[in-house]
Amino acid sequence: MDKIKRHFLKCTFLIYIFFSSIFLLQPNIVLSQDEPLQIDIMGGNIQAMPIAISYFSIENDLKKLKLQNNIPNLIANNLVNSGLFKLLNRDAYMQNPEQLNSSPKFRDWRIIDAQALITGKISKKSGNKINVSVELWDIYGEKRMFGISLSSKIKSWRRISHIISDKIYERLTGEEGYFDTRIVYVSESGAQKDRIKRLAIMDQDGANHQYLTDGNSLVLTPRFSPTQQQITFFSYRGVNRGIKPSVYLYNLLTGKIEILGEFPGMSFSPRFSPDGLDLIMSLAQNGSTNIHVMNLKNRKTKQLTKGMAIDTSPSFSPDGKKIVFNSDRSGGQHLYIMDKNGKNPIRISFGRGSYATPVWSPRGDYIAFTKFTRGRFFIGLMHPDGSAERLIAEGYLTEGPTWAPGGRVLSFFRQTPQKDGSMKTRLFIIDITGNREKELITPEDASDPAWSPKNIN
Amino acid sequence: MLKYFKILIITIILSYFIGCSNKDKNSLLLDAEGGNTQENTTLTEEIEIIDNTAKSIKMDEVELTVEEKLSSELIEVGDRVFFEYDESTISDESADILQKQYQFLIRNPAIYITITGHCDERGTREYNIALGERRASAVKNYLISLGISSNRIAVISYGKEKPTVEGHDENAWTQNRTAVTFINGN
Repeated sequence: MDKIKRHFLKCTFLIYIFFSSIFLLQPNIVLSQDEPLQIDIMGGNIQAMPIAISYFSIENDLKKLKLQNNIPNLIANNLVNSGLFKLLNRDAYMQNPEQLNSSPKFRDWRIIDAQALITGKISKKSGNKINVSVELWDIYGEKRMFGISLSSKIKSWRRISHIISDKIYERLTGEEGYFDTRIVYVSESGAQKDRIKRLAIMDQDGANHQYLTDGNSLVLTPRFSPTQQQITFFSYRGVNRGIKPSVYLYNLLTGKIEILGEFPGMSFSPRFSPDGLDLIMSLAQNGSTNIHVMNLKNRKTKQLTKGMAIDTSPSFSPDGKKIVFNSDRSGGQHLYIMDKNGKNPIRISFGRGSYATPVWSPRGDYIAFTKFTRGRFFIGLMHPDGSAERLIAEGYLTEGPTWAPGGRVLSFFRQTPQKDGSMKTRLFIIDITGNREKELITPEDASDPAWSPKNIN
Repeated sequence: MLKYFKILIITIILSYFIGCSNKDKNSLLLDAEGGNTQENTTLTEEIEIIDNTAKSIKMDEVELTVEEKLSSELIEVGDRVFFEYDESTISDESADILQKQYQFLIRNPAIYITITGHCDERGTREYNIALGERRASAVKNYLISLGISSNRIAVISYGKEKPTVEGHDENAWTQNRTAVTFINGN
């Protein structure tokens, strides 16, 4: 029974991947001149920009699908969740979607103080496809900022909405969007002593949730390939057959799982290089843990750190030239940066407490980390030179930051002890200002989130 | 896990004795049967059923003996040692336990073992995998220094993923900072 269910889930998942990759989403972007309307999102105090997102106009025989509401609602949900935008109440809109098929009356929108307006039109195409055309208007500049037109299968309407959200976000902030992305994580259930942990994947907003492994073996720390439909993770899946706990690769298109080399000790803590060609990981043997790099093509490994210390949780800089990692070589746990060949390690964290799981931001400007001090765990940020350390989230146990594309938003997990002695483990999303922390709803307890790069068309 | 084995073995032994005492009753009843009625026959049948159960449990016991007897002996000897927070030093107390594990391994030269390393929850997953490995390796190296061949000892770290005790206080943490020795199955 369970097998059938698993098979079914796997099939559904593969079909999902298939459709999202094959059934072409053809972006057809028309950009106008440079516009003054833009938010500086890296500034400290962000004032959410008031925007109006009208319901879309739609051809009559498509009306019953409710896409004229669902697509603008999903776009609004994405933009509002970013913390940078405030959706103006639709009751106050003076023009209806059909009236907005031509240029809007800017004066009507200035009355409600809309800085920008998003309008859209949905029409039918052949073969169960729709075309969605969206336009972004600068109300005070009285100009069309840009338009985008996408065609796809009706069932891909969520992806269409995410792609459009990214384009609008990029146009209004000048930064890379992160809405057309997914999150892989460890779904947890059962008693703490014998916890079932399995890989699961979902859209960044929690939709399209799927399990990737069955829970028969312990899995931890999944990470996305930056270039392919692949995940690397650490698992105990071969332990009963005498295979050491190791790093594995999961091909999302085929569902195939393969072990990445067999070593004299345990291999764990994997992460891809930015070009997707290499993998860095830790090998633990005889009480010391060192960082190694593996060429994924020929599977050859090279040792990068030496000595008796624990060197783990490595993460590449976005240009691939440096590696930040966590080491206890000086006694306490601290963060170090070395060249990609293992040379010139320098310590960058000097505060009180233990520092761990450093992750380099995709923009290169921050390193996110886990910090343990005075009995509490924190998620923190510092510049790669170790300066400007600040803590953005805390809890009984918070751990495992992961960056969304664009480097403005992170996810992490938090464990909170409950009155009955059990532990609640959940994913959260937060931005680099430490504002707008929000739980990401999952079917079960959840840990070790890893944000995907932008989906590949 | 081993706790469960312990309970299982106690249960097996108990049910064996229950079986025996039932057998005794059974013979008593049989003796008394001559002068009596149906009631006793029914009882005898019931007892016989119980007796069968006892027999089948005895079979299980025979099957379990090799591995389980040794495992329970290892538990008697002391199957685990404990560590200070973020430490992997073998304390004097641990050294005594490992001496006994060494004697046990000498007495049973065919046994191969796996040492699992564990941490309390106050550390990140990846660091704790490494720390658990360091603890298990410390035990392994201690046994090797006493004279056990290294190829008899495997090491696995579970970090903070398989705590012995659920709980979020000093008592639970103390019990979860451990390295446990298991006898390998076939």
